[in-house]
Amino acid sequence: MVIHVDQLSKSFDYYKKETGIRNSVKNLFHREKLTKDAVNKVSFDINEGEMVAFLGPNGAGKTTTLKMLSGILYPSGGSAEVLGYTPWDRKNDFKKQFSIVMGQKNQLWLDLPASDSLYLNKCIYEIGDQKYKDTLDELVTLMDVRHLLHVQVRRLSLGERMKMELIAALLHRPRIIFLDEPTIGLDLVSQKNIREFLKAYNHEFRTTLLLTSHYMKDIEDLCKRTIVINQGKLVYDGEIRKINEVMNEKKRMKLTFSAIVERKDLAVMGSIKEYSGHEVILEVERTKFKEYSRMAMDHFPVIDLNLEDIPLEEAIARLYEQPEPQG
Amino acid sequence: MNNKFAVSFSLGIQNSMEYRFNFFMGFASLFFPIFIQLFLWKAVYSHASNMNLYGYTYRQMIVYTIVAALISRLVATGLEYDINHDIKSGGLNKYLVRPIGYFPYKICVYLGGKVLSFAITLIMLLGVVLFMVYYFKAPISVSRILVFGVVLILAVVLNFMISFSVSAIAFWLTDVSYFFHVTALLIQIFSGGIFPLDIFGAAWLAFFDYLPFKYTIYMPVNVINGKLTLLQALHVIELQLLWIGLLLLLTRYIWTVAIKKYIAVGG
Repeated sequence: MVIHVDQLSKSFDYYKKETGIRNSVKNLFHREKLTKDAVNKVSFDINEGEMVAFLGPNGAGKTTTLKMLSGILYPSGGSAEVLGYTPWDRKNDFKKQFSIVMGQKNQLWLDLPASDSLYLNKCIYEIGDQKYKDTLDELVTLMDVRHLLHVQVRRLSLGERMKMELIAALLHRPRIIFLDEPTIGLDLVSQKNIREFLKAYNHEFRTTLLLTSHYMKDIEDLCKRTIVINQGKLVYDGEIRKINEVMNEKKRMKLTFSAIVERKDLAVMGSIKEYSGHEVILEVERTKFKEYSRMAMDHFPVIDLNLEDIPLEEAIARLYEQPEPQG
Repeated sequence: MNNKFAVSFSLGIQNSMEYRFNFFMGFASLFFPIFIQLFLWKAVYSHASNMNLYGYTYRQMIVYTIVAALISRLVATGLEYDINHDIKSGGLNKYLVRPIGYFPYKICVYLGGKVLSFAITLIMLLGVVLFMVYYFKAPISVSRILVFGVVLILAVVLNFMISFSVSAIAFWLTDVSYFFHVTALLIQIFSGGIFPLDIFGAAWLAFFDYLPFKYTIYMPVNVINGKLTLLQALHVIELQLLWIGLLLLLTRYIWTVAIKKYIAVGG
């Protein structure tokens, strides 16, 4: 076990202002202080070599959790242990064993070529000359950016910059990598490149990887295990494919008819998702679908019948709406 | 070169040289306020009954104005905005997660960034000194110039310490741009960057003794223009070191407290 999180919480203070000048003036003198639980008693364990995705809507607390695990933030409650260290003690020995990459932040010097920033990291992490040479060589080959090493970072494309950021984060061979939306803002090809790289890297070095992303593709491709956080609470922890099973056991039945069928005649079988007269998509209980499909065949002029799972995005969206943990 | 601080220092130098035009404009911008002040003092002295105002002759006042402008340009940090940005936009994160301290890293980069301006300022000051020696027959010894060099480096470090302490306020206040505006202006005045502190009168001068500001501009100028004896100049170095030490303790304390307040916004 490399990460152990127990009842971790973080709350922030903020102020509220009602609309209008009157309330702005009021706020000048007195402000009502409110507290937001960004992360609320989250617990989980992660083993060495695992690739885990953090999923959740904006403001769910994913980034805040990563920030606490990397020692940037002090928690307001609970505890966490990463590689045997308490992250917010910020011990140098701990810092040398992990990396955090934030898609929207950069550690490279914009006005200098990446090679300068990389060399600085070599010195910061006290990497030996030979090891540095070998690692850098390997990484630039894997990423195919050798020809860009001596170009001012400001002049690189977003995708190229992200690759350089990753190289900077991996030079010291961290045992754990936190990735906060590593593919944000990148085009599809660059996204794919980054994903493939991460996959290969994890495979080769058994590095533990924790990433947050809004792109389902990132998560489906990379991570077996997904932790879903919503409003600061952990709502799901397990295989992403199984979210569906947990979610109410529903199936989608798509029927195509040779003649128009009335909407009200179909409603008895389940909730209608789409309806166009000749076609309908119904959501039915998994346990009932046999019975209903027979019923449809018997009563309506069915020419085609399809059964499918509820799309993953939708299952997850519903998970966000649930207040209490599942699974 | 393998030390992280040496490399930070060197990156500071390289970074400052990246935009040459901006770099030279920085120096060019110095001349406008100098010219305005020269005309101002000319007007003041031509109407004064006494040739000696606040202990400065017209020539001395002109020299003070030019030298003070050059030094205040040299010691200026702009660090407050930089640090404020790091605090507000989460830029501080990258230092918190890497095995390098924010303070030592910043000071190395900053001093590196000053190397070139330091060299250019020294050359310009040398021009002023030669002018003084030649036209005013002012006696300036080599040892005085050496002492001045040390005073100048310490002034740069001292002002870094002042800026670093002031910028910690950004941890507590969300919008600090005006605050920094005001403090920068006050510090500039209290440092003697615009006119000699003697203008404030004896009571204020005594008060300034208890503040670190005058050791960044006012005292260095007085070392080179000969108002201070060599012994007094050495005393200035002592006090600069004392203030740097005190501010080091202060910033250490403030930042330890502040970093716990840090909320690393965004996301």
